[in-house]
Amino acid sequence: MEKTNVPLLEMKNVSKSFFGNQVLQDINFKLEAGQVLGLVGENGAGKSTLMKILFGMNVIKETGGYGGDILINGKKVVFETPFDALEAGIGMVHQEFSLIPGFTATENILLNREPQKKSVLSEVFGERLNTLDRKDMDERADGSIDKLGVHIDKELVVNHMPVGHKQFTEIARELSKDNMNILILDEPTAVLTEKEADALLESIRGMAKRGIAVIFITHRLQEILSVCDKVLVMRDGVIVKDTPAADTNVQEITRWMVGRSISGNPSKAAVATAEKERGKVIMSISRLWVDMPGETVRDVSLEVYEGEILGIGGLAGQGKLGIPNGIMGLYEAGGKVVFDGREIALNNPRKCLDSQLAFVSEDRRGVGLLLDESLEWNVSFPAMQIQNKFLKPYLGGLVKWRDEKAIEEVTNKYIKALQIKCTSSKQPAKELSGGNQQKICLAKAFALEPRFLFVSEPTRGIDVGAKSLVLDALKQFNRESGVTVVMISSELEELRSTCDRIAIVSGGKISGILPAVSASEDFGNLMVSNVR
Amino acid sequence: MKNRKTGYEAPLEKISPARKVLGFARDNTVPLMFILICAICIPLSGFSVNYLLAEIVTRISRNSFLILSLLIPIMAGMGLNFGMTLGAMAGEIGLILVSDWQIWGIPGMVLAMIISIPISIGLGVLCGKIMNMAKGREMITGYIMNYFINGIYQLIVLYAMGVVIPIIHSSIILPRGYGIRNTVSLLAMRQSLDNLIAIRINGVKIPVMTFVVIALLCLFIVWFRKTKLGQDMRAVGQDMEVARAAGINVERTRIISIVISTVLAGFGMIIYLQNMGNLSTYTAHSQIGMFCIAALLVGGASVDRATIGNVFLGVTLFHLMFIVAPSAGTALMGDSMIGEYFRVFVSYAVITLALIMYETKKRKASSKAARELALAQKLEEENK
Amino acid sequence: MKISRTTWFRIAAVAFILLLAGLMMIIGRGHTIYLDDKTLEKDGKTWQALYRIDASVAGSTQEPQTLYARERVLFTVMGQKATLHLQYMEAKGGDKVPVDVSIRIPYGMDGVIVNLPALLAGESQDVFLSEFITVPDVGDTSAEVVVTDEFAVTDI
Repeated sequence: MEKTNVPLLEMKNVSKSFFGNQVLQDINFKLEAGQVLGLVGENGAGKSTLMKILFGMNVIKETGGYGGDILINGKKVVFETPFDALEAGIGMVHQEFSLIPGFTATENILLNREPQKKSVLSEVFGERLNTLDRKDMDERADGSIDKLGVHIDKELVVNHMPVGHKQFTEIARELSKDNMNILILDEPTAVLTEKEADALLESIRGMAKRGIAVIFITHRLQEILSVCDKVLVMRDGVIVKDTPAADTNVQEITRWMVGRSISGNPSKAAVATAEKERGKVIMSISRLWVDMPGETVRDVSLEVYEGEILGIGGLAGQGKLGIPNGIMGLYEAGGKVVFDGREIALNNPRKCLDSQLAFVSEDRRGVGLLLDESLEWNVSFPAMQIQNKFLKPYLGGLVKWRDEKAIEEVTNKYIKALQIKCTSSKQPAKELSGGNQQKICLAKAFALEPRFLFVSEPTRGIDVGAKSLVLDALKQFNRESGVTVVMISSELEELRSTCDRIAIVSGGKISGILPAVSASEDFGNLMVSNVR
Repeated sequence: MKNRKTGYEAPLEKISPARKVLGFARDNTVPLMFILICAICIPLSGFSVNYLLAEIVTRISRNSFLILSLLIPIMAGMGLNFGMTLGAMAGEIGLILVSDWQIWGIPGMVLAMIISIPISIGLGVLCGKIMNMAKGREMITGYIMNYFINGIYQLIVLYAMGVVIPIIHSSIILPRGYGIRNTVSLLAMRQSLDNLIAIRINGVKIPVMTFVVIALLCLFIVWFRKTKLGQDMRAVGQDMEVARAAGINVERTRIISIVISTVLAGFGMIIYLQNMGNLSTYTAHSQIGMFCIAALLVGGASVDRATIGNVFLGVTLFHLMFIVAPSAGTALMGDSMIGEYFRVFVSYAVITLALIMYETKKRKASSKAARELALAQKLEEENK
Repeated sequence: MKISRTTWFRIAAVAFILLLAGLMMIIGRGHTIYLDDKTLEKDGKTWQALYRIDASVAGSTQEPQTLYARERVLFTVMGQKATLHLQYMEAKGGDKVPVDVSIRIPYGMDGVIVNLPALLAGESQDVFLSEFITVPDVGDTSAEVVVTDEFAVTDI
């Protein structure tokens, strides 16, 4: 036989449609062993669907299957369930964690694959009465953590791990599968700090050296360039570019992804906003503590000026996400918060909303949206509840009817402004892609027309094109209505291009506040001081 | 100082002795409350310490096996297995047949246990399958299944026995010619396990062999947790979806946990009845589920967590209260009927209270971390 | 059909349990032995009642008992073999003669009557052994009400 280099994975003319809506078309690419493939695309471009097909997830079969062929080592394979894919050597780390909360990292890494020893009863009752070989388990966990290249405490119970560790535990679990030769990582660095993300990239390089092919899905283009061999850019269900990473750069990739050029020079925008005059102090936070697992706030004191856009940044797990969650009453908090001269009661979301504070949470699925309801509902509901907007009063206010027309109008207004990809304003929210769901959350907050807006990770999971859209929308909102915006984000550049000042949270406390125009290194220094 | 399990670094603080006591009291409210009730009722009841000791030893040996059978379903996330009564009924059927065949003593017990096994397995599989259809509502499902299977039990024992199932001795058959009498005497095997090795200390009889059997079950449970099946159950108990995604057969694992519990309940009921010496055919199993679960809760267990320690602490405290409460009530009110009523009232009230208190404790625990933060802030301020 | 190792073990386990059950049925079978010191007439032969017999049965829960002529005592025993330790006095003031006899009780009989004079005369089992048949007292209990109400709390 000839010495052909059969690719490890090959997709030929793969296509998929959901209820008549063509979501994927003509997907063709090859992946060799030890190659790292970066998969980029806007939200809704079809990346997740493609991975679901590769991983044999049920939803694909339930909605009519897919067209085209998948070949592993030159042989055609059909995966009916994720277990088929696992057996063929494909591992996948999803964005949502699949861990048993009360088990240690070791137990999770080896879940349902534990090494066992035969026992007396197992002769009669079968294998399930074998005892677990704890020593071997520890060894294998250690081995898998070594392969990962990042140190995690294997004795720690998942419940009490910081978010980054949970991510690494998931990856370690995939690595501990001996036959795994293709690993799909779906947005693995979303919850990691910059340092942890670097560690992960190093780990991916290690895996590639060992012959594992990695498919790396992310919006952080720098990461793609730094670790991938090949870059696959998808847009609207097709592959628009298949190029070696060495031959391209961030600007080019972005252009292919969105089909339009991205403007925005951080320093120019920052200079412009730095000229703005400072208003009075509109919110003063003193000695705030928040019990948010993974983002504990210990002692934060901060002043926010009216009309400014204040950024809050810092490494993951240091507490920046805890600040808005605590003030808005989603997690137990203590301390003192004074807004516009009046003290706000903590642990009471309603009071905050009544005082015209609004919050766009980073947890859009859990807190942000009513997934089964339509977009209209989602956008208008809080405004209706809190401010009695979009209601037509009858009988002198006794009976309040929903003003359907007004609701539809306002929803469409935001759909246009934020360029939300949907079939109509009546589509259920759960059918939207992640990034578009995020935009709905923003629309919801805007509809409240608040005086003060917390926005937490506004562009998480959103592609490059939409990112600047969202940030511009925020800036516009701030400029036109004078809303004070506090933006929490793990992407420093994003903060620097949007905010006036940036506070850095480290170790649950504020380690410093600098004007946005300050150098990145200065912020970096603040981030790493007092890290817990 | 880093807490290994939580990764949380607690600020170093001097905890005053008073604080320590309060903390302990908060964590163990229900058992402490029971100790208080007993402390009040024991002197009122007028029983001697020796008498109480003898009674408690008897009850521990009689009930522990049954209560231990509840531990495995809790581990698998099935909650409190009200369906243990099904196992009790299987054990009773075994005993009825064994009595009829005039098999006495320990061999009779063993034979009854063997007969109960296939019945328990069948009922356990049925119960487990139905509970799987009602995920999240296993406890109430088990509770209602009791009534259903009780009906079938009565159908068999009250109608089929003597007709379809041959019964040799008409002495245990009702006058009308079929169906088993209200009580079946188990004199022939009465306390056969207890007396096998019994020692007397200070007038208190200790049934050593029974305790050995109980100890063996405890060892089995401890060992079971270390097996693959035990680990699978723990995983299923915490997050069914994650376990399913990992390839564990969630439904089957849950059913197995109920089957094991039912078989053990069958054995436990036989041990219980051999101590009593008398089988109340139609009512023996009716309250057994309720009281075993109450005892377990009193020992500090909750719907999702129970240990062997909970079992023994619970059986001691609960039964102590059960013994002294009526006499204490009589001493207070002067009427014996009041005493009986009082006992039932306290039993049910205690179960309700245990469930409420654990709910409250759970909520308090979740805000514990919050209080620690506030404390940490305060300390820093003081140390500045 | 290849029988796997596990299946062999399972068959063995089930067989073991069945054997155990059978064993329990045999060694656990309880019988009540009624010892009679009565004059027996059978097949034309007569055995006279003895003046006094002191009897005990090995393995029985009952203490040794004494019976005089025309009396009956009861012993319960597990298993099909019973060893009787007897000391009989043929007439008043006579010698006490110790005798140890083993008898085999048929499995199917709950209660057996042993006629001691015949036994001590060395007769065979079908002479001295007869079945004790219980006649349940029908008029004993008035309409026994089966209580099916589970809300009556009994002692636990």
